[in-house]
Amino acid sequence: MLLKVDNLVKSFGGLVAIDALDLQVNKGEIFSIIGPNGAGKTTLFNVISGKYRPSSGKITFEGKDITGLKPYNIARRGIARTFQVTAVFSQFTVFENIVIGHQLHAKSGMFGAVFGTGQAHKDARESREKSEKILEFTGLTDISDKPIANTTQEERKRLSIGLALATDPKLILLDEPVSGVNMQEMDGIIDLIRKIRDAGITVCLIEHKMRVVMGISDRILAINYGKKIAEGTVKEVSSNQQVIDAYLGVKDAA
Amino acid sequence: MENLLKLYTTKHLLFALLIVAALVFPLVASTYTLRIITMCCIWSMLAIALNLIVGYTGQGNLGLGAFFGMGAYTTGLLMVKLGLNFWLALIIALALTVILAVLIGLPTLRTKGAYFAIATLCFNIIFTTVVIQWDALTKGQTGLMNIPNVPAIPLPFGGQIDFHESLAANYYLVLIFLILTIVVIYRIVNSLTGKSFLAVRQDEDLAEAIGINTFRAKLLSFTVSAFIAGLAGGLYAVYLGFIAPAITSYGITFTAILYVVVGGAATVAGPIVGSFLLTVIGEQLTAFGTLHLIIYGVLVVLSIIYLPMGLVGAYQMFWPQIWQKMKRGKVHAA
Ligand SMILES: Nc1ncnc2c1ncn2[C@@H]1O[C@H](COP(=O)(O)OP(=O)(O)OP(=O)(O)O)[C@@H](O)[C@H]1O
Ligand SMILES: [Mg+2]
Repeated sequence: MLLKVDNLVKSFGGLVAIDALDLQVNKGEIFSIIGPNGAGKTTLFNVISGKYRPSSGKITFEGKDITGLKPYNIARRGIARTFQVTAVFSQFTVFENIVIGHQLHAKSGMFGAVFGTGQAHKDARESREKSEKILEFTGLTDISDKPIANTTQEERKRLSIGLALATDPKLILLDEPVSGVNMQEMDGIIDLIRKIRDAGITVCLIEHKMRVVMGISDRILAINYGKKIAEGTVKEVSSNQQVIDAYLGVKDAA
Repeated sequence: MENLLKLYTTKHLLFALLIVAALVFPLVASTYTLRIITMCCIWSMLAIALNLIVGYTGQGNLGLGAFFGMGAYTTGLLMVKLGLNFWLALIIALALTVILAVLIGLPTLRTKGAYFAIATLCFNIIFTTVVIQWDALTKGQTGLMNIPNVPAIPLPFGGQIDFHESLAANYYLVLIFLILTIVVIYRIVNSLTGKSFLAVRQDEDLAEAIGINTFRAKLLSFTVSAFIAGLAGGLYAVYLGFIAPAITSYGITFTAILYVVVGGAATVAGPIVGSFLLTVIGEQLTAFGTLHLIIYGVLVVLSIIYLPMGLVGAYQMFWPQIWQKMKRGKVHAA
């Protein structure tokens, strides 16, 4: 087991966005989180990644308690994330984005750069080499020198995933990675997500599109109003009556 | 790749040429011009300091004048009151400036945006007030006078560099520190640390999510910026031999902001271009008497409206396009 969440609560004033939630993510799987709008999926990511402090509960990663750590610390321990509203560094090129994504592995700091130490050169070279690999992996090599202003939505989606991968994570949290792209582009990104899993990185995925979720997930967690309503394999969850009522049912009616 | 190499070497060639020009400059310049250019060098250092924290890191520090003043007053006081020589005084002054920067940065950098600007502005106002009120130490509004020169440096083959007689010696001293500052800043902003400053400016949440300790990055940038401002202040004190509380005020910061904005924020050359251009234009305009501030103001406003990225920013933006066009033109002609 890679990630374990126990009895997690996150409330905003009176609103309980996450309500006594338990979950486990196993090493090497694609674990999907589904639920209607406002169910608390993004909030769950924000708490796991340290952006929000939980109101109570415990988060364990690789057997160590990471509850309440700062986001940069959580990233350094091996949890990367993307944001629901695609976030990349808009004033960098594609390549520069990936390079900065790898900087947490640099052993030298500012003084190394000022005095041009061997370690600083080594760090710079390693981050460039790593970045080229990531560009290749995410299919962005051809647009590596493009400024972000000239990229498409799909390229930015891929880049945001590449940026997360550049940190060399053990677990990657993807918040709706295929929203706002066309069918064909969607298939490409789904392939990429599989490729990430096959490369040994555990994937935690928030997704609305049922076709995607059912096709790709090893296990699924369904939540509503911050509470778990089902957890299990695709088969188990898709046949769960509560899930059909709360989520699939609503979708079908809509 | 070949083009990149060409661009890289042209950049270095240009830098080398500029340095040579700066070195022979005192041979051809009048005393008046040399004085102005020496001041340009000092203001350039201050503008470079401001550009690091404001331009690259995106934190609207309005307290930089206090660090310039800290460097100037501490250097001046140590020389006048304790009789220390310039070098020792400068080193101690810089150490104290760094300590002050960390003490001020720790609480103020917890705030963001306008709150940070206001917090640092308040700090600066308090600092200036203390300098004015602490009469026994600072001589208050009268200012600190008769700060000694840099001690003469004996040359190995006889003779010495005399900072008392020679204006050129003072110019070279300031110039060397400016060049050092440029080299250090160039290396910082092109390093991963520099890129992480830029990342913090663009999106703090994303920067944290990829493992950047944004608070630490801001504190580092803030402190290095204060250090450079303090260095500029120390040079100012020893060069002019006289300092008054006005040089610690937020007005100094606003002047530096103009230099950075007109020259080009978040570029290495921008603050230097801005400082030289505006200082020289400002000098020329004094011929217009009281009107000069109005003309100066209009020029600055026009430049901000029409060149929002500053001169160097606009150059970097448009030069590659013009270059491409020129190259294509050549191909067609052939
Ligand atoms: N920073 C915040 N302050 C106050 N309320 C918040 C905050 N973030 C989220 N919420 C509330 O928490 C609840 C869960 O929101 P969340 O964004 O986690 O939903 P979601 O499941 O990701 O929905 P969607 O599918 O629309 O992205 C919502 O009611 C939302 O308004
Ligand atoms: Mg969401």
